[in-house]
Amino acid sequence: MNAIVRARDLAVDYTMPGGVVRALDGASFELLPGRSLGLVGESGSGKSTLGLAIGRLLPANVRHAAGDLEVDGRSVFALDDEGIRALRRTSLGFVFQSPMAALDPTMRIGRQITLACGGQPDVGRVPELLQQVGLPKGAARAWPHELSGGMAQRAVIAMAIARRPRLLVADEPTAALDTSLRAQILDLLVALKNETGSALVLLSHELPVVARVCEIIGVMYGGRVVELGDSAGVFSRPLHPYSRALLATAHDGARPGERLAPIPGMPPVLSGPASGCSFAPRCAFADERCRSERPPLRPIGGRLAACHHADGTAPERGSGMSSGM
Amino acid sequence: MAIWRFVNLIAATLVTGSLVLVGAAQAGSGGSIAWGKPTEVISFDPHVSGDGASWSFFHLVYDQLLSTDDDFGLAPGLALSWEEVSATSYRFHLNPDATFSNGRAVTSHDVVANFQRLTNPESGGVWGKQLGEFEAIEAEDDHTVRFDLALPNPVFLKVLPLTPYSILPMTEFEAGTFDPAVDILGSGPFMVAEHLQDESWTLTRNPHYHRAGHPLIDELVIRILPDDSARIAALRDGRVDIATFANPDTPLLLADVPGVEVVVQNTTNYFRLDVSAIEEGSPFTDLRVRQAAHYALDREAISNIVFGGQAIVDYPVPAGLGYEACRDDPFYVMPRDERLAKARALLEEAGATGARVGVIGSSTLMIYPLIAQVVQANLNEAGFDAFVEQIPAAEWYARVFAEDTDFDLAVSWFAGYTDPAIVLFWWTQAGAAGWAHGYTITDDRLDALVARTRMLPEGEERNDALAEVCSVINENSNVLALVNKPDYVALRSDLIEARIGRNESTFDNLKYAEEFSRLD
Amino acid sequence: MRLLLHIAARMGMALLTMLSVSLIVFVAMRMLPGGFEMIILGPIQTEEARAVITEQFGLDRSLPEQFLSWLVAVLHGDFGISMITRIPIADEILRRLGATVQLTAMAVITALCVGLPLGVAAGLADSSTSVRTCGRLVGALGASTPDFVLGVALVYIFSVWSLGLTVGGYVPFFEDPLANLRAMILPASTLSVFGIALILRTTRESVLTVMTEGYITGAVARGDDPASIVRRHVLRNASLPVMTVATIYLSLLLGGAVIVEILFTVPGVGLYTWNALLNRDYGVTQSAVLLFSGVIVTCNMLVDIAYALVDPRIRGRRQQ
Repeated sequence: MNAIVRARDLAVDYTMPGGVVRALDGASFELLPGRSLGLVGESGSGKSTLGLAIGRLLPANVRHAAGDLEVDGRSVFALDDEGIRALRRTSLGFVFQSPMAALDPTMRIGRQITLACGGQPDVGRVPELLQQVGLPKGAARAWPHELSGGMAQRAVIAMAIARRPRLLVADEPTAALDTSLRAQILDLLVALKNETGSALVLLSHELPVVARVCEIIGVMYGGRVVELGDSAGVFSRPLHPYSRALLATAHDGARPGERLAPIPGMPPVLSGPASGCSFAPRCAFADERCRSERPPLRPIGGRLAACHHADGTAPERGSGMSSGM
Repeated sequence: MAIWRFVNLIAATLVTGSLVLVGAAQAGSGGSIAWGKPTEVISFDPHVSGDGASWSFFHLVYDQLLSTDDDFGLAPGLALSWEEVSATSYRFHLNPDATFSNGRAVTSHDVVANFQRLTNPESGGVWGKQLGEFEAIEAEDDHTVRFDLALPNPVFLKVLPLTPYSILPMTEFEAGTFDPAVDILGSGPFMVAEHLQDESWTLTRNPHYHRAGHPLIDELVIRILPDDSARIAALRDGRVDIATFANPDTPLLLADVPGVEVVVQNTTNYFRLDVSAIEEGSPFTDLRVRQAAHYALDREAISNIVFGGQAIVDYPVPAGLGYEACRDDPFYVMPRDERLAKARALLEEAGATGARVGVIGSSTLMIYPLIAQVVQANLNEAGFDAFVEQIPAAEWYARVFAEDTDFDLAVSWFAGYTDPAIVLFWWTQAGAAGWAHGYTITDDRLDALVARTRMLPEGEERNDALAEVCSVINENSNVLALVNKPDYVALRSDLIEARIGRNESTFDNLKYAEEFSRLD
Repeated sequence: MRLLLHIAARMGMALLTMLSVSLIVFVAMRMLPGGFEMIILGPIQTEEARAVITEQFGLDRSLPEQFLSWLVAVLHGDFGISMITRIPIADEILRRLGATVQLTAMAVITALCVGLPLGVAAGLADSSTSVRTCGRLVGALGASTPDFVLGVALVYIFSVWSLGLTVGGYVPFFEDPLANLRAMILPASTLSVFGIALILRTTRESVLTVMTEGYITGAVARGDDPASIVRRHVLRNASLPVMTVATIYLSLLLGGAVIVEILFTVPGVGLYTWNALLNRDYGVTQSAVLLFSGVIVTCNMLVDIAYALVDPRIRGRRQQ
């Protein structure tokens, strides 16, 4: 079976007033149709950039530097403007962080879903979508400002699945919602994925949440996917030291956007390809090789990890990393 | 759908518009002439109206007993002939054909009632005072009127052509059917058909005008176009056939407009500088400071800088009337450096060197602020610290022509009319009452001298008296004559035949409008 | 019911505003030096003749008395007569209204027709393109050139080369549409330049802001084509600030109309007001200012309503 989305050593640069910032530094992953992938990482890890890259939705100041990203076997960077629009229409559905911002305040919900369906949907399609996302029929007549955050996100999801995409990309879809609603929305996304058979890419900074709803987890750091494997495995026995750190802090309840306090040091800001492991400055196990040689994303125990020491070549130092698991 | 309705509307409008145009073209045979006039008529009652802008309009509608010829001489008006019965008695024989535009003949009664209204201070205002006192005004028959004066007044005849002495339909006035403040009804060549304020006056020929076959044109449209450029543009594209200007650049500006001829109309009017001589706190209460300012004036510079060298130096006795008075006055003939030295010395003597004085150049006329600027420069050369104040008419009036004045110097102008005694009257206490008392000194000697020139017949003796008046006025340095104020009449001589008077002393710029005709 | 109450309150405020403006103008005008009696009779006149005039028009009464009698008359629908022409002011204003309405309408339409598309284009264009630079330049130049400077320049230019356009040749539209347009194009263009710049700049900024909104990203992510995104989302949402600015422009226009009418001798309400002010024809200025303030107040109310029509959030707030 061919992957619905596949990134190969994807590198993109942001052109900023102060110079170039490398947002993705050779990110690789792939996802088969109908499967769900959770991409996890701190803010600045490149996960949102990767999510946007799937639809080639990157801002104008972003340059595709190297590698490739294919959706349904087509390179998104090779398509012309109409081609990418067609791909977005037919194959992709996006759900963004803030549902209120994602809805046009001057248009009723029903009208917006109608437009998302392509303008002239079959009769009954809008109610069907509303029902699918758990909104009452009357919501079609509502204005965005009349909806609660959770209902608005349901409406956004309805718009995202309106044209039955083969891949749904959700970037922190619950970040702007009350804690009580988060599980509901995530469950809805999973349910829809199962119902419609589309694949799901869920971007989040909360490893446990992703582990609960996704089949596969990709951990991102410094613009790379540093570990990729089945949820249970990654969650129970992370290979990459960063994954372990992430898991540990998740238990301490870090808020969105906060740095991972228990890990000393700052996430890297790259201006070009990292020469070694970009986690090395913060890693308790780093040695000379980690600083000089880029660790490839390599198979280790049925998973992929980008760490020279992930296969146990380094002594397990430090303590408490696995406590509570 | 809506767009088609709109298109239909436009089409309908265009059709209606062209029908109106066709209708207009068919009216009358003598055609219509348009006059581009810079200022709107402000007051409608000629007896009290005080501005030249309104006067030049009144002459098209109203007649006076007498008129002037092209050399400032007297000519027949409503009176075909007149005789001096004695030094205090005059008899006028009215034109029996003279008729108001409502069809009623002008009678002696109208004339008598007019002058009675004029001599009433409330209705005649300041203009009645120029006439002097009457013993009697009598209608000897329907077309003969006799005026008996209390005192001899050789100027009496000379004021009669002036606008304030227009003959109104007094029978209608007495009957309450004519209100001079609102209605305009005269025996002149034209009558008012329509007035759109600030826009236009449409005058049509007075069908009862006494001169048979006149006016030649059927209609005279007055377009109010305050902007010089707008009047030039209107001349160029033929929207007006005649336009009047106060700007001496006019001949230059119109030089390359095809078909346009510019006539410089000499007047007896001149610009003047009012000096605040009695207001407490004014440095000019000191005669030496007034004289310093007078010596500092450079009239040639005003002519050269403001008028491109076109204006001529003028005197209290208007140069335009041809008198020799004032020509040798030291304030005029002394070389400029000596005058400046004298001015500085006087200023120093008075301890007023560096005195801060404002020169009001009202925005009423675009020329005023320009003159004020030259005056400012002149004064500063002599050691004053002068500045220009450009203010609207009402403020100027309020600050200068009031009981309590609030100014130092102000640029203005005087109408010279047809005889020097008429304008010199404003210098006397009687003449200044009500408007110039706030800034002019009282000088009994001057009053007596002016009264004397008024009484004297033309001749050597009168010329000497005028010279004496002139030197007293200059000595007082209270009101300073500057340069003359000609009018410029531009006409499309390729489109119309229009005779324009070369000399004009009564603001009757289009005196021969009844003879105007179209060439096309 | 709440809505009606709200409207009633707004109208009450509007009337209060108009009353205050009238009072301020009344006091300000009477504080100006020089009175009507001086203007009508000229400087060289006697006290007696002036007294006749002041008495005739009641200008010798106390100021509160004069204001109250004016106010009472206006409340009865009587705006009085022009002291100069003795014609009812209402008639005079009505006759001139056509020219002013046409002038401002042409200016607004021109400003919208030119400013909106240019603003949208400049807002949508990439920062590198010349469209945006051009838009910025036009915006900056147009907004910083005063009407009267432009007007004086145009009057001069067209007095030399008429190019089929006329200065000061106003003819009512229904009398001769062609001549009317020839006379109105220059003043209307002069008046519209500031509006073009203002609307262009506001539209550009507004579009730029809207383009960063989540729903635009959402529409892009759904693969909508740019034209339909602009049509469905950008224009509607960008129109709110533009509407506000257009109202401000309309209030400025009334001031601008006065200047432009004077410059181009367009016999509208602005020129009438200006001349009345110079001539101290108090009743005329008073009535015209009342009219102007009424127009501005009404415009603000209309924009309020238009806002509610475009943005349901505001409508919701009002009804709740």
